Amino acid sequence: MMTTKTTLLAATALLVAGAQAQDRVELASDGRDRSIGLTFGGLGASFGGRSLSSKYLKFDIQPVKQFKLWFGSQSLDAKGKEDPATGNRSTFDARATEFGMRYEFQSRGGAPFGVSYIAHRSGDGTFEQTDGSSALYFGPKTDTFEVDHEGWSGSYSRIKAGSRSASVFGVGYAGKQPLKAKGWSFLYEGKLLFERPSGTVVNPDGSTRAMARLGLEYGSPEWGSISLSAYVFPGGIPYTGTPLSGFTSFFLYEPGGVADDLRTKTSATLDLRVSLKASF
Amino acid sequence: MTKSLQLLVATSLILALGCGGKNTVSTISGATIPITGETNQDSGTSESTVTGPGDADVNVGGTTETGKVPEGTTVTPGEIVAFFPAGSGFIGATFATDTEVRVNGRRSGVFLSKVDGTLLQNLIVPVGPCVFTVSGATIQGGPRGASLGPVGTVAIRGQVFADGSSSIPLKITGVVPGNGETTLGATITLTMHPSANGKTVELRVVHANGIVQKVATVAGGTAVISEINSEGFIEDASTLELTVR
Repeated sequence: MMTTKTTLLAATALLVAGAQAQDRVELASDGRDRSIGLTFGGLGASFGGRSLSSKYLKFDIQPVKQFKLWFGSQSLDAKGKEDPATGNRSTFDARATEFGMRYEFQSRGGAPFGVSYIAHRSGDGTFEQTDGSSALYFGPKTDTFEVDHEGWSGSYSRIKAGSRSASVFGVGYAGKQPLKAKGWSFLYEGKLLFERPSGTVVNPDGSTRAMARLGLEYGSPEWGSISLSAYVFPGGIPYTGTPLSGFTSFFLYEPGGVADDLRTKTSATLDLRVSLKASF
Repeated sequence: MTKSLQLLVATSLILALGCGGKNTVSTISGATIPITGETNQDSGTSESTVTGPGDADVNVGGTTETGKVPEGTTVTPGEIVAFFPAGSGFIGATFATDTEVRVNGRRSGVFLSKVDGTLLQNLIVPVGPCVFTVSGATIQGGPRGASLGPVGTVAIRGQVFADGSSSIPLKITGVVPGNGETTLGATITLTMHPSANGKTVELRVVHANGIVQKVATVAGGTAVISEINSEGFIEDASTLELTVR
């Protein structure tokens, strides 16, 4: 369970975010209907002697005002605690791809209603122990259906990992608050994920995980944006619904070693993201 | 969306945050399955020329024994061989029916008892690499009926040395993880011939969720493969390989 201090920090951030909530901007808003975009970035964390880093690259295209498609690829490199005897660290490596699409239903005079489908396909994950032992995990598949309206979102994800599976229901809010300085915005997001795994030994009856994001963004509708965000996972990292969804689904295998505590203890990551776009 | 509603939901999120991350364990740990095998292997000197499949006479400790020579294998008089007598049990598995063990991928004419997995005939293996392979083995005897298998393929890889000794384990004891069981602490101990000291033993399990590989070094005639399930639970194992190299 997360510490009281962390709970209060997350609580305060979300309360402030909730009070200042503005509509989430998802599609191009420079007045043009079509665009292409390129997003790249990295994500990193270090805790308890372990470290985690991830790089990603994503292409997106918006052929018409209401519809957007994207395809991305991501790699993950995690390192466990140093073995006091050898100085070596266990490692976990995997790659994942993401495909997604989103359609916006316009309402007369109201905010649009978005429907999305996102597929994560992970390659096999490789875990190397310091003593030469290893494990290979077959790559999980995650399919997510999401609806969103005025910053609110609801999602259903189905994860299939070998002989195990999980259904994950999510509810969240994301927003962007422009700051006084031109081009700068405050990003915030809170999400709750209700997990119902099947075939697992730990948490067979399901559990709840959460994610909070706070960030700063600089950009414009003309060229894109650059953002730095902190993601906090109070009480452990969820199976999906995070920027690491292509990898956190491996938790269904209940691995030890490098992944110890990641499902049960509060952790946080920093995410640096650059998004470039061209409208036409 | 009104601000008051947003605040209400945000507060709910916060309350839920404080409750997140609880873990419960459904299965009692320790549902491991005992594994016991002893090969009783010895070295011998061939007394006849046979190209398998067939029977050859071998002098083992001054006594002439008759054993099966695997298909495609030739032994000649005076040749040093490894001798695995009937009653040897490699991993103490059970089978649906008496099952033939293959040697280096070829038929051996030697069957394992469906009851306890022991050899029903004597087996002769010449000097060189040797791989014992068997299909459909089940290791039983865990609590609540836990078992491992039936495993599609069980393979034991080793070497018969020039003196007729081998790196095939003399004895296997310990516990192995059952299908999907919580089995932290699952450890097997291999007793080896001293000629195998310094060699590496690798246990490789292919199962429904991936592949687990554990390694150990033979020292003092013993190799210990511990925490077999530390990287995830083994489920529906399709291949179990023990390799000494």
